[in-house]
Amino acid sequence: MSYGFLATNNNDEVLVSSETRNLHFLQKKTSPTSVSYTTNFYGGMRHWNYDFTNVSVTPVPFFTTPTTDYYAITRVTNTSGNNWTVEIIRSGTSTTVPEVYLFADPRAGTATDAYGMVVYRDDGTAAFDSRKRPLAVTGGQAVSHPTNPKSSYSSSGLSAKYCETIQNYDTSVEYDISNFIPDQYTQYTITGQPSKPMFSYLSLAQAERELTLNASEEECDGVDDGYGGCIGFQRTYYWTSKYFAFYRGGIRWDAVNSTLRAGWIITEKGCNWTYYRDNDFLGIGTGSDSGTGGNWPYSNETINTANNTVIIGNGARYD
Amino acid sequence: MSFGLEIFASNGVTTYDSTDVTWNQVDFFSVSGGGSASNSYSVLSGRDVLVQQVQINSPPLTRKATAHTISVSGTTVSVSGGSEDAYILVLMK
Repeated sequence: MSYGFLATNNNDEVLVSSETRNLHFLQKKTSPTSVSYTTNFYGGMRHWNYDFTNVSVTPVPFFTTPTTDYYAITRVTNTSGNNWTVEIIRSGTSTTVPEVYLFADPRAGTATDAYGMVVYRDDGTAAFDSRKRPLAVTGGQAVSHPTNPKSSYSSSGLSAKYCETIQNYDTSVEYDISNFIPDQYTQYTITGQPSKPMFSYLSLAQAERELTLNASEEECDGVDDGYGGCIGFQRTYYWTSKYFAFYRGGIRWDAVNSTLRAGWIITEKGCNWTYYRDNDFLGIGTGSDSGTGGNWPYSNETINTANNTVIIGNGARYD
Repeated sequence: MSFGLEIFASNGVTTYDSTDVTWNQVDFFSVSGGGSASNSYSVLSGRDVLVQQVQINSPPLTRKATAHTISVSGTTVSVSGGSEDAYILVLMK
């Protein structure tokens, strides 16, 4: 650069530049604004919305991981004007919720101190403002998710009839199964992290897995011929149930062993069933308990597993 | 610290110094589903570059929610191939 301001650290990495914008702390939420989905089935899953107001530029969210479950940011949405929603998902059944820190360039936010240093860009807007608590990172890791969320899938214990293993057809009472709980991850060792790390991980990886079960039964209205056949009118009943789970990529921090895992979080679950008698179509129904009422637009695939980077900071620095 | 940059708040606490590490925001833009973008930033020359992508909406049920493919070549960041609206965050250090 021929003019302006540039500060670098001992590794010649840019700390402050009048040609870029540092990220600065804006707001923190200690609990979600709303819960969009929760269940303790399938190992447990939580979907939370954290709403933020007065954010005039696109924010960069970080979250804490108060439990050793998998966490991820799945969307950042500008709901209206300067209002934003950050959706966080988590595996597991704990009632403990993550804290969410919001960072943005210094055009957003208000300085809380009269002392410090401000660096301006050539358009007169701030590139850096020490009064707005600039972001310092403590680590980073490029992560990739394993292709399969679970090492092997078994249909053991699942019924082919009316998805009855997870939902009572007559009463809609739901039941739990463990057939889809993920157990695969990629692990990374990251040392030297603070006691309250915060992570920016924007989930892209997705996977869908399904287990299809078929069954049939014959009913004879005539006379049994003594050899397993039927003399007279008979019917054959056919059932199919397709149990499915939809996964998103997540990360899990283990502070004791300083390890970061890239694994999977079940975010939707359900089942579709069909029922036929002979060749006559009698009924087709959806026994889904996922709230979506249908299949996913792809089957038994894993997508968006290109490398993704986790940025780590010290949450306590912004408390 | 005996050399470098150290910035203090009015209470004497250091808010930022040259022992810190950060990622600086170069750009933050949106790319629509099916769309593409290719932007050049001279400030990326010789620097570590990190490009983040976050989807704006929940995955739809009617199609695969394919993420955009991001490539960095020299000082040019290219984004394309995704089916969903996304924010692209370009960082450097």
